[in-house]
Amino acid sequence: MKIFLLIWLILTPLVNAQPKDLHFSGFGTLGVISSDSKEYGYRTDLGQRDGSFNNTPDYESSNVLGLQLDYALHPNADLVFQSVYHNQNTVTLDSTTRLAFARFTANPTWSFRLGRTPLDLFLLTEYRDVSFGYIWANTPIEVYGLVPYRYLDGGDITHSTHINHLTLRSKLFSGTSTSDFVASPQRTESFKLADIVGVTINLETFRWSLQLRYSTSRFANESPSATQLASGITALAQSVPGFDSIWPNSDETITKLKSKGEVVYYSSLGAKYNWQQWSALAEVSKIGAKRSFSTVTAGYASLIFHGQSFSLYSIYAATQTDFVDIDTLGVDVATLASIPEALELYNALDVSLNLYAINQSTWSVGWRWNLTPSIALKCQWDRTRIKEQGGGLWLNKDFATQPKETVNTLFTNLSFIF
Amino acid sequence: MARLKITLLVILLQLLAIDGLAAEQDLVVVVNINNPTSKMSKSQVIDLFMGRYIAFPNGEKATPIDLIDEQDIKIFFYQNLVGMSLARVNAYWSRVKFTGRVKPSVKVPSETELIQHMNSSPLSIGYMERRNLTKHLKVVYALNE
Repeated sequence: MKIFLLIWLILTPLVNAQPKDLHFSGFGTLGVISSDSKEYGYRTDLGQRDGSFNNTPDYESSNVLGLQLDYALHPNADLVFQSVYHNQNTVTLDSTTRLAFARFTANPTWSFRLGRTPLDLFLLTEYRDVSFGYIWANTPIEVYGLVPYRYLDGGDITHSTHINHLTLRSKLFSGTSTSDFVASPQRTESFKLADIVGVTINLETFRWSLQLRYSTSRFANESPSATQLASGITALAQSVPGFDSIWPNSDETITKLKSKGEVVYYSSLGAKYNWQQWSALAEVSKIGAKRSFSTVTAGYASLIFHGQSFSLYSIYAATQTDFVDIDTLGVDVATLASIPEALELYNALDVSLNLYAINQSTWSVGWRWNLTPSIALKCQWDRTRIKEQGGGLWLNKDFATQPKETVNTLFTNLSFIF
Repeated sequence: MARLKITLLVILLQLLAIDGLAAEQDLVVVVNINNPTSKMSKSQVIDLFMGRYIAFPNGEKATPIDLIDEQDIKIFFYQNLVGMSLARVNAYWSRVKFTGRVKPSVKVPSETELIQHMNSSPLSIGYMERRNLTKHLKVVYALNE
């Protein structure tokens, strides 16, 4: 934490002493999260390995430092580079590079970016790590926790136009992205999304905005743990006589475990409204795939009151996913139990098929105090009701036992820009 | 104890929303005299200074010029234009800038430098006190009209 403060103190004076064509700026967050469950550890998204259990403060998950360089090559062309540390599991040049693109602005209506840009899946995914940019202490995990992807290697085309007093901004993007998923305390797997094609449509005035997003992509690799399970079932089918009668249609189960080539889609409808000292914000999102996991439907609504230097807010967020009932596979579990290690395989399959079966809801209240125009202190209290076997967003000892529980989580953080 | 009292007083003053800028300032949005734009609406000025659609009404690309730091004139300008404190304006701009959506606006340290910059730049647009207008600049929008 001291290093963060030192970097900030050194960099701040440099911001106002830079060449005309080069613009240096940055953002950051210092914070602590504390959650009161012994069973569930709070984490900001599925890519995080650190979490808070049993009121133990977690100082790592909310710490962010982002540095950005903008360089104007020409009145119509510029380069942007941004590096972000947000408690990644591995810190490399690739994992910390958030933006690295060249932009050509043909005119005020059309612009093109090529390189690494932020992945624009949901309303706040592009700036979820820029805590100063939003009122809350944390983005609702019901929507944003399931998406650890941060960047897009590819390009986008943006069209902006005026229709009477409305601004219509449309963006088409394409590329690839990779992120870690922490599927268990011992297992972190990397998943690449290939052939991402998406569109964003944003209709707004300064008072309100309506935003629609839709994208499709394809998993480019298999999950090592799911492949291991599939191999185990195949080995049983080959070695156990009459396996078809114990585990009917095991080929179909194996197909469910294959992620490579699976088409995944993300969609979101979001709206914002500002009225005098009040703001309202709501979003509904869906993540779906044909065979690997059940469709996840999530959403939140937030009401915010703005004082002169503070804001008070409340959020309600919920997510719903259909649980895959492993009994529907028709496996003769009693007979399977007589085969060495087969029952363990069956139980591991249950966990794997329901890894993203997330069912929970959260009420939040919070307060943001703008200490200066570029520093904000935020506090938030979350009360989350997790349904039985619905706690996939949380860190869990073995991800197999997920009891029904109500968890309280406290966030305190200081966010800043320079 | 004395330190605690001072801290509480500072917090109280902030919460009571004491606006030191309540005094009227005659602020105007200006362009270079050679710019063909003669008048702009409030929504067009908002679009330009909030990075939403950075063009003059004739479609020509514009270059908004802003002031650095927390100067009174800047606080007054945004409070009257979009009804937001500078912290909320900065929060908005952090979303725009750190997602790489638009280029950061040009920032100058003082109104004097803003005038110098605009005197020689036909596509720039800035804001200033009316009393500081020069013959090289013209008003396209007045905040208190």
